Amino acid sequence: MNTGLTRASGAAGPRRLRRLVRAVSLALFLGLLWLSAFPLMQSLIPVDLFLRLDPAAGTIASLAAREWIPNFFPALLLLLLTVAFGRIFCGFICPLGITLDAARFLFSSRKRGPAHGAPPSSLKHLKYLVLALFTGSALLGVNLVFWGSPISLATRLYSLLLHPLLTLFGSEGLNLGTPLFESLRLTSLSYEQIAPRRFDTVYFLFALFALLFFLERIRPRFWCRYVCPAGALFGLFSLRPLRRRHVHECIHCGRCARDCPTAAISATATVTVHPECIGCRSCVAACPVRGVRFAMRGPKLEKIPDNLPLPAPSDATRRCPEPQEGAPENARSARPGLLDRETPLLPSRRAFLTAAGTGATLACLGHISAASLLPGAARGAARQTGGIRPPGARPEKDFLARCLRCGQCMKVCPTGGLQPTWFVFGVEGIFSPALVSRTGPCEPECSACGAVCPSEAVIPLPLEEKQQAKIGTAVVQPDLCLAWAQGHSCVVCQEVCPYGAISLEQKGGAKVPVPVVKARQCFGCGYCEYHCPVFIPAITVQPLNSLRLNRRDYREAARAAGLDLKPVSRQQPIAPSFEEIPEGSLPPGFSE
Amino acid sequence: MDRRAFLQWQLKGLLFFSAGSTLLSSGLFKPGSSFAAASAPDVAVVKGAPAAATRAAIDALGGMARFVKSGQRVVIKPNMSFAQGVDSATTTHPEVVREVLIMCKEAGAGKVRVLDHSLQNPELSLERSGILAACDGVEEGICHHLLNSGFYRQSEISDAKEMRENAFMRDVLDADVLIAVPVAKSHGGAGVSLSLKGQMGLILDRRSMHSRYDLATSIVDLNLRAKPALAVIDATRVLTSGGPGGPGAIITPGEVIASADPVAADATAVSSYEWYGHKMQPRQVAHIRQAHERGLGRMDIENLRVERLRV
Repeated sequence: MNTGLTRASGAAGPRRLRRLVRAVSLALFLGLLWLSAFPLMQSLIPVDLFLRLDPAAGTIASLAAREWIPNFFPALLLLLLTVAFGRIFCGFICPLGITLDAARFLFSSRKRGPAHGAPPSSLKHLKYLVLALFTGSALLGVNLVFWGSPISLATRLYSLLLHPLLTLFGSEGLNLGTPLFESLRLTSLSYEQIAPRRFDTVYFLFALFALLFFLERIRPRFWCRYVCPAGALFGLFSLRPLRRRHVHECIHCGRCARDCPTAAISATATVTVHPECIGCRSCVAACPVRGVRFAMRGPKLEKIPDNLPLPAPSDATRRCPEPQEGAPENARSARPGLLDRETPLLPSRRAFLTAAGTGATLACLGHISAASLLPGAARGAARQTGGIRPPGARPEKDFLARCLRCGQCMKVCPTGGLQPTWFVFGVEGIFSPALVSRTGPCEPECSACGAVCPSEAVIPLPLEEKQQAKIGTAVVQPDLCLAWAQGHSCVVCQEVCPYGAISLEQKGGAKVPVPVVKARQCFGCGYCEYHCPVFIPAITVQPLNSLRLNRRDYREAARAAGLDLKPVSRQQPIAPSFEEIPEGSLPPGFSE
Repeated sequence: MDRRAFLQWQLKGLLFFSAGSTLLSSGLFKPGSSFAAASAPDVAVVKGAPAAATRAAIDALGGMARFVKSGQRVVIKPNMSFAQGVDSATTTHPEVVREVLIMCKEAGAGKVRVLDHSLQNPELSLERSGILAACDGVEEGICHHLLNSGFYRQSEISDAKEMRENAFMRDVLDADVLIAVPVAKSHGGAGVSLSLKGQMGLILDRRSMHSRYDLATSIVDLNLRAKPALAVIDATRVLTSGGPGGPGAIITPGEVIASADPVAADATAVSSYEWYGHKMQPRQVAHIRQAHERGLGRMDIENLRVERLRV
């Protein structure tokens, strides 16, 4: 039984073009993520370009931050383009959309999506309500867009889940290949090592994307159709784009409606729900009479009534055989009228207000939750147990208002120290970055996290400024410390401190010189905590006296705070004069 | 070594010295002497430019051929653990490392590797110390820091007192010859960081040497398994205080100390310079004293032949 349809040969062009554009787009997205690595190379295109293209992230973060974030200018441009060309971003550029399509292709048994066609009509309103909820919350200063920003999600998927998997496989592969490389005298290759990437919250990411991929089996691009807030915003700007779908000729076969991945076409094939249309041209390719065109203007829709009897076979249709009798794809036998004009394009005002009100309430909860008690509050101490923000992170409230949880800073962090958090910063800080020194310290010669942050939640700083952006202070716990408590001559913390902020002092009662932190010289980089040989580190970094500014002049702020931060590599060697060794005692490490 | 191999080795040494005699500064020992090793001093201390002093010091001991035979696998262990430049005196001078490497190649070494397990950012450490570039100039792709555990293999340490096993670099376990090329510097915990202490860069888990074991004892344990056949201490600059990371007081003796006995080399370095402005005795460094007591080498340099030269 021949259920495959012969396509009109000319219609393959636009689809091929779209496939090419999408391949290039995904390659660019992944390439830029790949380049988000220390040392950052100068690139013409900012490595966070795709994040800057997300209008939902841009507007919600700007609303919450109470100022327009200029990095999101590309998103603004894109919205204007949407007025002219519809949701081209969704159809051609969005890496999440491409990923979901690829997942459907990979994971569904049939190459064609299992359940194309019309959805329950009200569900498509959900995404507008999601957007309204985020907006309502942002109006009260709380940014929740990270739950739905498609590019943020895609960035996390690739950099926090798939890239670590890739490094795992690569590393194992190199291990296996080493004997081979050695026998082939490929010396450099035999020593090639891939630094493993390890991140917290990977189980959550896996579950989230497993769900999204599963939903693809229910409806193609389920996420894009029903949930995506960026899609909703694009939809609002493409209620009637200048260049849009027009039907010139129609035999009401319903193939276009069946093939449409976003259910933007009525079952009768002639009515287009433009805010749902992503311009993918599937309908152009599906049409046996080549009656669909995307153009600035087309025939009045009324020219082709919805209920005309099928026209007599024309030349065009003769080339394309009618579907066999009983073919389930025949849209006329499917659910007619589901997407007809009586279904409103947008949710009701009541629904909008309810969603926005819910968002506002969530924001209020954020303001009354105990975790909102931040350091420096007028009364009370911070409840948080000591999450360290990246250097250059704005004051906590402003930081959270901007942070998109995209994971770009974590991807770029050369030591893998920046980690997504669960509840260290409270529920409202979920997935936001913290320096976990035990995983990796903050490299003094790196200032990449700020440079790649799309919303400038971490302010981009030149290296000299970053080296002044104190993120915390190391604190020795004498009861755990090998030198203090057990008299071991362990000086690992002093040995590795890149700022020379730890001195060894002979304290009364201690058998050996013990480490003492010189707080003025301590950046909080966590090298000491990272290397501390005690299982529960005896020297830990607290966010104590960290500098959090909304400006770039950390040098001035550090000076004002009386700090003396300078990596050892930039310090002048001391001329041969010595810090006085007390009379009767020996240089550190020597014995009688 | 059987008699045949011994004779071959002697013959090769003879050939090498007669070929290389013009390179040698005259009068140190008789060119062509097949008993170079026997007549060589226990420790050579040579003052001069880094590369020239390195060569002269090793030649004084009987030349690299005494330590490296044709086709042998050699691991050179410099200190490139800190992301700091030559001026910081926290890492080995790249010219010293390069000269040792060149001499290994001249001696016909089969496979030479320059390896360390860096403390600070490894790429920056290799780059800023200048050692990566120096080695690449001789042979591309042999200078590495090894982080992944796949490069290490668990090995027992026989006769150990505390640290009975650890994961060593595979290259080290498979090597015929280990050469330690540390920089001379003070160390807040161990007193000094020289060739014995520097071997900590050859194992995967160095934390346990601080937490589980006594540091000095486990340094000696470590050297039972990874004892350098030749120690070349770069004392062109010496970080005499604030070590191992600095900043501290740097003096510039402009010397290179070489010995087939790493304990003697370390002991010479300790007694040659002032630490925190104080004259110290080798026995005051716990791991040197213990190494001596446990027979790893000799710290009583007053009873050894120490030859001091200038080039």
